[in-house]
Amino acid sequence: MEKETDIIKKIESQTPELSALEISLMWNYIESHLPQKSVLKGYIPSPFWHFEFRTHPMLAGVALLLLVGFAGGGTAFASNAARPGDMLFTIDRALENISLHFPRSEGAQVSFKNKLSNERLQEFREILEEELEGVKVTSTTTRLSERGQGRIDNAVHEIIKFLDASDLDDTNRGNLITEIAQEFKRKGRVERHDDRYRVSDEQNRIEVDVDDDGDSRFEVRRGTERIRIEKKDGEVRVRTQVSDDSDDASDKNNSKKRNSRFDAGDALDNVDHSRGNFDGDFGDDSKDDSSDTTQDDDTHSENDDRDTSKTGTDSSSSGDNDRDDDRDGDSGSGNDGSEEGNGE
Amino acid sequence: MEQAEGALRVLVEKSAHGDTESSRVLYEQLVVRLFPFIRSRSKTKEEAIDITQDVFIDFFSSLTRFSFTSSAQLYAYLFVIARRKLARGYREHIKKGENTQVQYDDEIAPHSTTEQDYGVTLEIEEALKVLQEDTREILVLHHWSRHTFGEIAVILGMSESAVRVRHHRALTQLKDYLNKGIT
Repeated sequence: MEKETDIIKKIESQTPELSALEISLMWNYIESHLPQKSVLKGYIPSPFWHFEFRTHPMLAGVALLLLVGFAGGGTAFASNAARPGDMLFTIDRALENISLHFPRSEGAQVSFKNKLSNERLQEFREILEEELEGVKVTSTTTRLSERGQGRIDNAVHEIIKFLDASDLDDTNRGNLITEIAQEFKRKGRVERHDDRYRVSDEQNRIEVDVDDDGDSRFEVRRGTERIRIEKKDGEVRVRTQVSDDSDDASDKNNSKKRNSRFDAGDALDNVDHSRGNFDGDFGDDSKDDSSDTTQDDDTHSENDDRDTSKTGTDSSSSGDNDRDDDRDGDSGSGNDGSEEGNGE
Repeated sequence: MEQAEGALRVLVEKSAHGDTESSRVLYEQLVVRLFPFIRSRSKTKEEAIDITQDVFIDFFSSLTRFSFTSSAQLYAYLFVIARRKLARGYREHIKKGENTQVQYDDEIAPHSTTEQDYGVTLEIEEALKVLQEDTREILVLHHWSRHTFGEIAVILGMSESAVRVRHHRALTQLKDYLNKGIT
């Protein structure tokens, strides 16, 4: 005698089934015959949604205002991550320019411009790394694509423009930046040596040093004149070296400013006007690069000692400076000297 | 149980909005329940597959007009479409004058040429023929499509207690029929 449980087992064992392949093939057929748009038109309204906005139309206006506010804030937030060449970069710069004019204390303003300097430097570094990623780099000149060159040129210009716009009462510095911004040609070539990148053209040279610790240095050279944005140990410094073509007594003040070092993180009254030479970081450009970097090696540590005694801010970075210069020495020979000697 | 209901609701809503991936997941969950029912009313497996495909095409096409309240209601909706498809197929066969050995909508399909093709042994097939349509359907929906009595009640439009009673009667009838055959 069969029991009910046995009958159930027998019935269930006979269940018609589909294999996984059959199920999959059937879906392919179904999907290909689905009316796509008619499905997308469909909308299952939430009863809550309809209830609130039908019975409380004012809420619709409030929701719209909130949406516009969030969208605007979202745009501002998104634009902050924009880089030169990005669509939102114009918005980012506009917001920065507005922020620059906000009333702030002197120290807060300096800190804010310090932050923007760091951002410009980081943007340039990222763009440069992106464009060089995957490109076979050698010790000789590496030509980028036209688009890549354009991006780097834009980034360089943005940095120069930023330095120009955020002039920190250094007249000669401002003049130098303005001249470089006008003269810099947009067909620079890119070279890479170890962790240093160099973008240069016939008259100007721009160097970017990057290392694994996140420290960066951005330097624009024209002849014996230089501007450097340097980030070390989280501190951003802007240094300028300008030439003094005038012997006029009325330019005595300018000659003092020529020889002063400007640190974005320091107050103006900390500038040492008594120093005869510039900080010596840049060395003597009349020689080729190999000697130039040697000059850096010879003079930098000496000046760092002076710097340390004066401000105390360099002490933490003096070791890094030596490391940078060692790196300069390693990579600044040979081709650099032959190429740059002609240019300068 | 509530999680399964919620998950099913999300799948239905996403499918209605055109999410293909959700549609596929929903299809895979439903096809294992629907196919046995359609197969029990089809001549061949290929025919059952064709009908099942057509049912799902109609199902997803009309999903935008469906408002999910429960899984049982969803299954009932699907089976309504299936019945219509089966009935339409039966009428088309009648119009063509085909000598159909398959009876749609009212009777179970007779056995095909081979047991292997049909997937159901002759013994079970003959036993199911003995049952009335509604009790036969309850057995198929419960033991092949794996629906609960509550879901079957919604699908068939009757109370759950009525479903349970008829299910019990169906098993008793089958037991008597099979035991008569043994004896």
